[in-house]
Amino acid sequence: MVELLAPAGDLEKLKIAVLYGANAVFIGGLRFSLRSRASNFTLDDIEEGAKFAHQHHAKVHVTCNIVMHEKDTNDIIEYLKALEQRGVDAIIASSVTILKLVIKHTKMEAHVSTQLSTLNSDAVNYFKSLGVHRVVLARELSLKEIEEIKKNSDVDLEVFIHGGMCVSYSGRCMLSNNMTNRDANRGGCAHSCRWNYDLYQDDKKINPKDDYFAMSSKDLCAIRFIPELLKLNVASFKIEGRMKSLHYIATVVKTYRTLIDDYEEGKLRDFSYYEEMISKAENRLTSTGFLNAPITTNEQLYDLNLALPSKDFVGIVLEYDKKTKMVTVEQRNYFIPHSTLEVFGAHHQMLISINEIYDEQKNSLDAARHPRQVVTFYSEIELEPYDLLRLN
Amino acid sequence: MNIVIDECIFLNQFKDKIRYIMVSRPFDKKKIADYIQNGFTPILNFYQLISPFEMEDVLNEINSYKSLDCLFYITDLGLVYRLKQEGLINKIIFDPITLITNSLDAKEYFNEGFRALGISNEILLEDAINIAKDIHGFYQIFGYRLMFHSKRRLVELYGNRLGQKLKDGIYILKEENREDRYPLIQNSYGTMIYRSYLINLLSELPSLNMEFCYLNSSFISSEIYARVIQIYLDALNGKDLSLALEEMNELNLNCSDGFTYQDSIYQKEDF
Repeated sequence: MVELLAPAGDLEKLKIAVLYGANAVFIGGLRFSLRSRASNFTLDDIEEGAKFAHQHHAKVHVTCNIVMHEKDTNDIIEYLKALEQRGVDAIIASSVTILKLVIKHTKMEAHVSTQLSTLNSDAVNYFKSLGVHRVVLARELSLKEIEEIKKNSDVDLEVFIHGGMCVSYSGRCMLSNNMTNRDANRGGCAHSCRWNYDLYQDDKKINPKDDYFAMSSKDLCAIRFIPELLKLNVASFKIEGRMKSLHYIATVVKTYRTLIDDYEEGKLRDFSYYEEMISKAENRLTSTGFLNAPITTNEQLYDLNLALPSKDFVGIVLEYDKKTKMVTVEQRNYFIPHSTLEVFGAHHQMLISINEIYDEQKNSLDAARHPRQVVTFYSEIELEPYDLLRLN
Repeated sequence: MNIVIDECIFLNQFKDKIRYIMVSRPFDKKKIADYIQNGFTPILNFYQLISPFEMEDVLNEINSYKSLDCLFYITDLGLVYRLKQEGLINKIIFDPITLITNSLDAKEYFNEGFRALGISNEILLEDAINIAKDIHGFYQIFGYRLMFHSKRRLVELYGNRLGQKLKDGIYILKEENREDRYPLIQNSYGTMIYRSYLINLLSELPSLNMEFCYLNSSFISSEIYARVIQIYLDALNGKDLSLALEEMNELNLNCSDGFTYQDSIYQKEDF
């Protein structure tokens, strides 16, 4: 069965990803990891995350995927061994040194990062000759090209199915570094490709006065390609976005989990069902990227302000007291008493009506207005920890 | 140290002074044969990231030149691996553009048997020199440096949006809040964007330990390029460096030292 691999920027997101259906999560440690704004994990966090994941039959992959400069290369073996001791299952790396050290000194799997822009089976076979277990393919490949690579290689392949797309070949972009001194290959990408540019040819400006040349790509959404990708028998479907919110991760993971399970059980619904489901997560506009190559204007994002609205995520259930039927919730967005909320959980989805809302001192509130405030309300229906609440 | 130059109309001027010429696609077999006859060693530039259905064509193209006294400049790891199996590894300069940034990785790749390995432009010169102690390095020391490569034909796509046909060629980008102008090339391999200034490591020439030092001619007139080559050759042949630098300054080129002395930021948090 294909692995559904989800991102997790912190421990809470890791747990949500696992509970909502991921077979594996990828996280960043404090060293050698891209995505500086993700709250990268300490070794203790990693141990707790791995324990939780393993209890739920999921795996933990740790990204060590920076393109190391000379001064970054100390203590790699020690760090890898520490990760192994904490229960990590696989290391994702772009450095051949790190990949070889993982293979030689640990029992963890070595996965080749997409930073190496692997675009053909010959490159996959090179990595196989090093002993790696899996190659994460470049996002520039069409479905037919992925099929061709699969036909000509026998290493596990991982393909991206959802999330942000670099407009350049991954690992080959120095825009951010040159324009802001923030090194995208070492976790500091300033997304300079998403800025506004004037385009000239022979000193003549091409873009109209009220418009800019934009390079940005729409995010990837492979919902309509999942059945065909499943037929290719690749090892893993990857969701991008270690910096995305908990609500985003829950929604995207559950959508793909449902879609994959429905397909496997022969109960595939119309794709619009899954698209509707995933649209509740906050998101930029999406397209099928290179899967349906060639790229057209439909895959490009020209108006950067066009982000799809999300259905408001207002809280996460911490516990449910079966005796008193009181739900304890950590607030994430404003909501008020006497309203209807959608419960979006790992195992159920429904509407509930709430009446009074109380704070921890049992004072009645006119609104749950403070971020992370712990509030309670009565519910006849039993809710579960990690259920998410949305405005209906 | 070998200076590598691009093809240019003043090439004959450098006969017997320079051995290696970077030759760009589309290749002209007769021209390549002439170069070899005139004592040059062409380096055939296969700057391309190769998708599965393109691989055999590229291999066939390379095979038609493999018996010649030439080298191949290659940026795709899969292509390199295929050529290794065909016994051509010692004719390859492998340049993954951004990825050779430390001596550990450089040694791992170089042990495959390459003629030389491209060292990243994103690192300190000190680190590049350190890396080159253990390998044969290929390093661009003059000209506009590439900073972005997309498979997408971004200009054409933008033209489609505007309802205009924007063809392959050279364009200029300017970010809305900056004065810098970034040369952009769109061709059949996608979109390439270059830095807004030239790199010029003439002052550093005595300390460079690279096997190949490349003078890139992109976006520079042939006349200026020929003068730059001569200045570098004079400096290599012992001309007083301050005089060489003076001559270079007279060309009024927009030069900057990039990351030569200032490392980029690792995981900046506050943005």
